[in-house]
Parts: sequence; C-alpha cells; structure tokens
Amino acid sequence: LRNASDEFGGHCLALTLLGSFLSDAYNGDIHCRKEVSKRLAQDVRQGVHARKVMESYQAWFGEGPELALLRMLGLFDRPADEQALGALLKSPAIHSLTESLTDLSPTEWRTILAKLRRARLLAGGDPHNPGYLDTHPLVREYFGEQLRSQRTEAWKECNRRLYNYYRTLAPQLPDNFRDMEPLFLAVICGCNAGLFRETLHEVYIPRIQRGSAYFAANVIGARGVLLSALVHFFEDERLGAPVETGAEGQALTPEDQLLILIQAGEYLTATRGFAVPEVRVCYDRAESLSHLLNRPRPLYVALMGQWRRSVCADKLSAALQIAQRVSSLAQEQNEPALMIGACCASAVTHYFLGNFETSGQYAIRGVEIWRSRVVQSPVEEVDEPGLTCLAYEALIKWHFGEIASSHVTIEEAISLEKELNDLHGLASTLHYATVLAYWERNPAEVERLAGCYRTVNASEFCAMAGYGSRSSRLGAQRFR
Amino acid sequence: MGAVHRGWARSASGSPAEGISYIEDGIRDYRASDTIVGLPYLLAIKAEALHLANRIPEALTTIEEADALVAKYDQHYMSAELHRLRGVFLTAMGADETQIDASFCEAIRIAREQKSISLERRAEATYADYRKQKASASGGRGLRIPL
Repeated sequence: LRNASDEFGGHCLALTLLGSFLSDAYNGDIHCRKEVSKRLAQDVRQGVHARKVMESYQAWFGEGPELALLRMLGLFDRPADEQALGALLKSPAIHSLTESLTDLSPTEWRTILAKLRRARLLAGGDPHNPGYLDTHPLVREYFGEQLRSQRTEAWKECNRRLYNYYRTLAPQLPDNFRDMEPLFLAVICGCNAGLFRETLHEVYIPRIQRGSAYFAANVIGARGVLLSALVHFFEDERLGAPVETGAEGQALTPEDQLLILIQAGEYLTATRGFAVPEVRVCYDRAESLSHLLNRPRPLYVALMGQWRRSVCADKLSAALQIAQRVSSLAQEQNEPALMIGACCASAVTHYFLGNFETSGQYAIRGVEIWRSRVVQSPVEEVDEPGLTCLAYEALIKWHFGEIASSHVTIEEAISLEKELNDLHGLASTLHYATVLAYWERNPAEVERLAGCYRTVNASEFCAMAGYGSRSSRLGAQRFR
Repeated sequence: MGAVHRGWARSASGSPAEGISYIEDGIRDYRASDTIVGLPYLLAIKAEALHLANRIPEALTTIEEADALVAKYDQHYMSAELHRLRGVFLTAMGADETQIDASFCEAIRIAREQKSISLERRAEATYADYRKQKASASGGRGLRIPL
C-alpha cells in the first residue's frame, strides 16, 4: 500500500479511484495496480495519475450509461441539478451521448449512480442539496473535455439545451445577482452552442444589462462576472478578437462586436486595472470598428479607454495626443457628456505633466459642464468624469495655495460619489483625498483615509465578483 | 496605493521600519499592475521613509529612480518635490554645498514655473531651514532638516 501511495504521488483522488478500481476490476488485489501505474506519467500537478485511473475505468466500463453520465457532468462547473440533467435527457436523445440514458426506469438510474459512487467517480448524495449530482473537478474536466473535443456536436447540443433551460429558469428581468445567475450560465452555454447573436440579443443585452441601463454592471455591480460571461463571445476566449463565425445566422455583426469590445474593455479596466495589455487590444479594435460604422459614442468610449491605459503606462506625450483626439471628437459632436470626458482626460494628463494651471482650467471647465448638465450620460464610464474633474480641481487648489478651498472641494467630491453609490469612483476620490493629506503632511488623516479606501476597494471587489449589490448609480445620480 | 500611504503614515508617526515594509509591499503590487503614472510619487514617499529610518544613501538612490521615470515618461508633477527631497538627503549626507544649493534652487524654480505656490513655499521653507542650520552649525556636515 505504501508503494502504491508513493507511485501515485500521494494524489488523493488518484488513490481513491485506484482503490475503488482495483476493488471493482481485480477483486482488490493491490499488486494489480501495475496495470494502471505502468502507464503513468510523472506530473502529479496536472492530475495525470487520476486521469490514468479514469482512463482505466473508462476501458472497464466500456461505452454505456456510466460514461455518458460522467461526460454530461463535465458540462458543469458545479454540482449539477437533476432538472438541468433532465433537460439533457429529454427525447430525442442526443446522438452519441444520451441514447443509453433516455427512458431509464428510476431503478436503472439509481443503479448507474450507485455504480459510479462505488467507483468514487460520483460524490455521495448531499442531504443539504438533494437532487444534485457532484463529482471531483478533475473528473469533470477529464470527461467534459472528452465530450467537447471528441463529440463536438453532442457537446453543442447539450449546451443548446442548457441555454434554453437556464434562460427560462431566471425571471425575465432579475433584479439581484442570485436571480440573475442562470442568465450568466445561459450566456456561456449559448455561446458554447454557437448561438452568439441570439444569446447577445435575447439574454445579455435585454435581460442582463437591460440595454443602456447597464443594469448588471451599474446596479448589481457584477462587473467581474459580466467579464467572465463576455469572454465567451471572443475567439478562444481571448479578449480582443470577437467571434466572427457561429451557427447559421448567429455570427456577430460588426455592431455586436463593437458592443462586446467596449463592454469587455470597461469591465476589464474596472476589475484588473487601467494598464493591462488586453485593455489596449479591446479599445484599439473598438476604435477601428467605430470608424468603420461611423459611431461617435463608442469611438469616444474607445478613445477614453485608450487614454486611461496610456496615461497609466505610456509616455505622457502619447496620452496627451489621445486626450486631444477626445477633445476634437467632443467638439465635433457638441455633446456635454463627451466634453466632460475630454476635460477630464486633459486635466489629468496636464496634471501629471506638471502643467498645473492648464490642468486646473480643464478641471474647472469639466465641473462646470457637469454641474449644468440636465440629462444623464449616454455612455457607460468607468468613473464619473465630472467627479474626477472635481477631485483634480481640489488637487490644483492645493497647489495654488488655496488649502481650505481644496478641502471643501474634495469633501464635496467624496460626498457626491457616496450619493452615486459608485464604489470604484469613491475609492478613486478617497485616494485623491489621501494624496492631499500627504501633501499637507498629516499622517493621522492619511492613515484614516487609506483605511477608508481599502475598505471601499474590498467592498467593490465583492460587488464586482457578484457577492454584493449596490443601489442604482444612475438612479441616484444628481444633476445640478 | 493604500499600503504605501499607510506606510508613510506609520513612518511619519515614528515607526519607519514598519512603514517601509508597507511601502515596499505597496510599490511591488503597484508595479505588478503595469502602471507607471504614480510611481514617482510613491518612490518619493519611500525615499522619505528611508530618510526617516536613517538610510540616506538608499533614499537618494530611490530619488534617482524616480527622476529617471520622470524623464522617461514626462511625469513632471513630482519634479519640484523630488529636487527638494534630494536637497534634504544631500544635506543629511554632508554633500557638497553647491549640489545642495542647486537641488533646492531647482525645486523652487520648477515649482514657480509650474505655478505651484504650495510646493514653492515648501521648497523655500526647507531651503531656509537648511541655510539657518548651516549658519549655526560648524562645518554644516550631516545636518538634519525637517521634511
């Protein structure tokens, strides 16, 4: 037994499966382990030992209901509920997958489950979640990958059925993360099934984002989960290259591609920072498509995205050039929201260039337009640029020696961010307040504010991951 | 950046070793995000903390690193402050007077050019402290002037 443990690298799952396999196939004779171990590779971390035992089980079971069920469980990344499995088992049978599983009697079904449980390939029933079938992630991965790569049509049909199951499971317009979760699963399954356009236009846009309300992002705060869903609209899940093929009539149009590129860029920025390379890829591609389609608003978002990345990671002269392009576009369109963004880009870039006077002029102009605006922004922003302008106005006031006034201004910016309930924006503004406290050489205030924005960042992280909710940023917006 | 600010606060409140540890962790995380724009500011904070921990040569090296970033990426928003800090550190090391004077004068010139009244006043005040201490000290070597 010790030798067996050594040979299998002490890998828990591999040893568990080996034990049950030897018991099933060789009457428990430990010496017969060599039938399995002689074919083992060395890399324990990749789960090779466990895979080899699963391979042996596969040969021992032969094609039949046990393997079919294991492959179906490979479609899930969590315990599979019986209703979802029921959607897969409905007639007509899925070719080369569920033929042996349809029309089974309850006894036959339980026998299969018992056989897999005895083999430790299926977890025991969970009394807290009756009706759910669970297995080890490596088992899911092994059999799921087999289904995807060797029985692709069956895999797509499974995903098509799960897409229909999940999209009907959720309320039409879910208003919290828990209720919305099936829709995120529907997006993933729909894309896997090649139903890109349908998934985008029947689930993602109208039900998850509620069109231009960006509900899941702005109200539920689930930007991280949105990004996880959006990657399925990209070739090989590589951000930057939206899928261009699909089932018949399901290929994404250039308009669709522009939408997902812009949203992926925004959520990537919000979750992983301004400077990650994929952000640039998304916004560069979005810029080309905006020109192609003659769409100024997405062009503005793409340019702002490029500018944010550039100001963080490039020579500032490059960022200034992009800021100037944003300004030209805003003037051309004569749209207040775009002008505020343009002022923000110029104010921030000039600040870091050390052109404090010019920075202040842009910041004040941006705040003026923001205060006089009567309609909400037609574009989705990572932070509210009007409030970024206000924060930079505070920084510039400090440089100009207007210390008391800079305090009033930064306090107003913090208060407005709180009203908007925008955690990302609030964290940024608290950061600027901390910078001011540092310039004033006030350690107690720096410590207090740094603690505040750590807390806000943690809350934001939870919201982005989908574990919290925040009230409507748009609903709470104040236009003065 | 929260860790860096917290580190500065600890450092300025009399716990420089603890503060430097926070600051170094924060800068490491910040660099990992591929972001450059705030680095001169963060490095200035680190240099201050090193100075408070009496690790003056390291503080000066940190300022040089920040200067290189300023030059490479045009991030002149910290230029005046970096020159002022350099003057403080050179003073603490007992460097050549012309070097020290040049650092403070450059800090004042840049702040004036950038129309930063607060940074200009700060640089002038530090320069005045330096001259006052130099006048009252014999030889003027290794003076500590407040940050």
